[in-house]
Amino acid sequence: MTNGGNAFVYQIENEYGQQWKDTAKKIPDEPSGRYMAALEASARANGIDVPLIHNDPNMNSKSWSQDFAPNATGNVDVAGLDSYPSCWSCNLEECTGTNGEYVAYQVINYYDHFTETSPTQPSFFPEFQGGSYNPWGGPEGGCPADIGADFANIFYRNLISQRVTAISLYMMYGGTNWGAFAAPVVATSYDYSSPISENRKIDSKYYETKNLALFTRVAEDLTVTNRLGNSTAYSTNPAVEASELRNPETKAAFYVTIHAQSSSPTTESFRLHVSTSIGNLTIPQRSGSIVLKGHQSKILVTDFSIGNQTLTYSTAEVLTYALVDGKPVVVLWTGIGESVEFHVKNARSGTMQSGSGSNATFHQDSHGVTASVSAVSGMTVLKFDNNVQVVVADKPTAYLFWAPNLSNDPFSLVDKSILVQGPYLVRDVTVDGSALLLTGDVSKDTVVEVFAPVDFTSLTWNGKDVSATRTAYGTLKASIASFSGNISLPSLNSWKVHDTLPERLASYDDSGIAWVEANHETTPNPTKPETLPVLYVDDYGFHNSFHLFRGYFEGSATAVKLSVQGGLAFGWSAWLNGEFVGSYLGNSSVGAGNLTLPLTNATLNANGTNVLLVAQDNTGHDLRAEAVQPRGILSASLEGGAAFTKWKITGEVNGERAQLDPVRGPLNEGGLTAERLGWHLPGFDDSAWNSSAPSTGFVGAGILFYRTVIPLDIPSDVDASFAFVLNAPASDKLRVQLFVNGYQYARFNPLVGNERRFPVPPGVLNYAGDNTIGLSIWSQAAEEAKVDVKLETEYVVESSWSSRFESKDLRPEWTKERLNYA
Amino acid sequence: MRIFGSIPWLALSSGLLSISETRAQSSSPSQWPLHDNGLNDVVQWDHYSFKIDGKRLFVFSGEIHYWRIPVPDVWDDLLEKIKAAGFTACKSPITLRQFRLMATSQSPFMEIGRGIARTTRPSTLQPAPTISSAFSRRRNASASMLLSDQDRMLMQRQTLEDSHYGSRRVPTASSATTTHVMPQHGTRISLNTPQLPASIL
Repeated sequence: MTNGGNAFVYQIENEYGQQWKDTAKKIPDEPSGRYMAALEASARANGIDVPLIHNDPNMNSKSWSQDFAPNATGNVDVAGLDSYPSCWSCNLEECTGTNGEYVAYQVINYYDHFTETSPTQPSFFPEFQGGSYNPWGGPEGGCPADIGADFANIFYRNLISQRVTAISLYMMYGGTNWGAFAAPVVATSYDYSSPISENRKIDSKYYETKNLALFTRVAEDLTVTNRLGNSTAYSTNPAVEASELRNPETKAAFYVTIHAQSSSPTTESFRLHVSTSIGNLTIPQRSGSIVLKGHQSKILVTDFSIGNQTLTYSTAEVLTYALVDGKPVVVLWTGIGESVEFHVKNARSGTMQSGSGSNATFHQDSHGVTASVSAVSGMTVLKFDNNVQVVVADKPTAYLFWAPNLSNDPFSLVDKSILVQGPYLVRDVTVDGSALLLTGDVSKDTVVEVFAPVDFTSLTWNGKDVSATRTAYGTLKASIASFSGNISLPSLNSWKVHDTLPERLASYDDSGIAWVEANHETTPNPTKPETLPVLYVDDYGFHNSFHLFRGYFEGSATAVKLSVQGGLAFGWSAWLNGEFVGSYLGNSSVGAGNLTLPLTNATLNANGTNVLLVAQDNTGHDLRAEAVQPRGILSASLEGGAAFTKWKITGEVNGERAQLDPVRGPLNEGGLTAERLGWHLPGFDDSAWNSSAPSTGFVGAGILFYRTVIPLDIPSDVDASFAFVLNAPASDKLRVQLFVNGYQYARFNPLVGNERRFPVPPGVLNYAGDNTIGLSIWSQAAEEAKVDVKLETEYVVESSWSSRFESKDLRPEWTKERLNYA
Repeated sequence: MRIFGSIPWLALSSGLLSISETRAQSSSPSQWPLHDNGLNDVVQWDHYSFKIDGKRLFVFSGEIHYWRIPVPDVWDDLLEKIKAAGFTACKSPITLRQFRLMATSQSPFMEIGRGIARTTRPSTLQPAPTISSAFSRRRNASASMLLSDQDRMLMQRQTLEDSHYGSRRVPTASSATTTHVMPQHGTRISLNTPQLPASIL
């Protein structure tokens, strides 16, 4: 910002709550302080002069705040707190150490913490729960039940009730741990149950979040408040409490209402005691009540400024307001069928301009007009003689209310705001003469209604004229047609197949440049191996996804004893001279697998050389201090005579050396033959391969690679989203990777994980031509292995954002240098 | 949740203002220090909120990890959705190099910054250098696919020169060099080493 950019704070570390050896006595951990100071100095030396911030992991660590420890080494400019009150993981046991016993919808007191640690700073969450990640073994599709729209409703309002004025949701959009991006605690999906889903769809959680953020954007008085009380005394119902936030300058107030026990799912009706510029009132004054329906909170305003006018109070929440031709248009919203009462100061009369359901009633008093709608349904428009227009919307209507702005200013320029109701998404508005150019998405035929200055007489939607008519109360209305085409997706039934585990054979030649001799007798890793040589993959420059080890020995052995570590949910298998000897199948909560495999049934070369092949996958390095836990073979020994004489290792092509695929990047590939030789890439010639489909499958422990090419021709005036759906109808002792135009976009491990549906974004998928689909199927048992692969539509919406764009550069083709990595 | 005692409503004979007067200190901005970091006053803050260019802003932000959807064109879709939701900011971990270049808009791989500038309003990016932070973020798995070949080679060289052992898995923009910034502090050295070496900045 200071240099014309748009970054306003800079977070130099994350969840590094290490300032104190003893927090109570404020005895610093000096190296941590020097580390933070060095990060700060580095940022400053590199010209970063915006405030530096930190995200403290919990309320115990009390680190890096100038208020808590003035001038302590390592303090940042603005301290912040991190919190996941409903757990950051779908595995709730991961959070009890920090949060205590899990209680759905149980809010947490942060107010005292901010008062203690950062009173002269904004109450600030650089991370607050946007959802939860889904670990291996977690439920298919994540765990949205307790972290959906109701979560967003209650918890973000609860932050506001505690005077928080800066929030960043983790995550707003989670995405996908494609390739080797995941740590062992998460599987392929990083959907996170975020407001925007992994497949980019928006739904109730997004809308609920939007409806609060639209409010906070225009509620200027909310940026300066004192919390004057927090009690059930504000409510006529002891099951409901309110926090009173009041702006000391304007006297506007915000009453954040919530169940006194926030976890309570009951529906509660109440009236609220408020203090306003026209006196102390109990609202609604005339009839009806305020309702909290289940897990719900409502922020009810008093003396809310709307331009030059004032909304004295409202028993429905304010969604947003705009000044249209200088006249305030306020949108209130509440549940279907609920009543609303509000007071427009200095009005003398009001009329109902439009509406369905019950009629509005108006009562004049010496301060203005009280208006009531007894059962809100759809949208009701009321007009007052002081030029205030009030729109009362029910929740489904409000979810589809938008406030795009003609300005690019982050502050709420309410006089540049246009109010739009109807579409699934309104992205933006611009102006061309007397036309308003709206852009956005519709998922069905939609009537759009626009509150805009009278000078605008026509509308376009995504560049097309829509015949807008002016309503009697001044809005523009038009119909928008949804996408009416049909997108038929190809079936995936014409496949080629090839063995991708030639390394199991004793005759395999591992002298190529893909292979490294494992000859280290020492390791810098703090965990020392039980046997030598060191067989940690990272020590040899291999880090991703899949590794192979070939161990040589002379003569006879009766068993091999192996300890292999690969991270949660990983697995390994072993072959001797080409024959399968056993597998560790994996466990979603175990990161190492130890087995002693008998070799008595394998064909040993008693007078010559034998080769043991160990194949393992790798779910990544562990978190934090555990990140140094090795990956690879921790110990390998033979029983019954022989000893290993040599080991060779391979992994992703070139390891840490030059990359062959700079576009997909260093985390995309592992060390399968198919990956090293580039079979997963578009342009590889598989014409010599046999034809067979993964749904036909194979019998026996081994790894096969399947390829097919499917065409797509997706229209350009839509945003379409697709997912691959994988099923294992026979053995579930499988480890499957899906490659889409060379990108590894799924790890489908049906025994240890439940994810079967894998969204793949446009650009990775070619929407305007051929798509190369690859599938590696590692069968870990001598059983029948089959995988069904389907491509399914997640959604199609008519959209200004076209999912069909030029993206060829993202999908570089196979090159012949791959041949060197056999 | 803080409860200011249990106050029977009927006992508040003088109404709610008595709560204000007796139960909580009612302060005003003039009673709290207005901070800046001494380097500029573009961004300020106090007890109440952030101020940008002297105006208070309610920061409603959401985090996206652009490398978890490695298609720059799609970032526009996400950023437009975040903007449409009324958010006044968004947050994404970036590398220090990206941050520097973003300020000058010279970077060939700063599409995320450009996208944010294009789709959100000014003053909205909230960057952190710690692509490697927190669980899967803890893996130094930056969006190295965003880098030019030249950048990538420089980083690879740096990585090869780096004798550290630990979570550094791949040559990435965020691997490297806190060897000298945080001596003697165990694994944190290799876990939290977001800065790029000055030599390639």
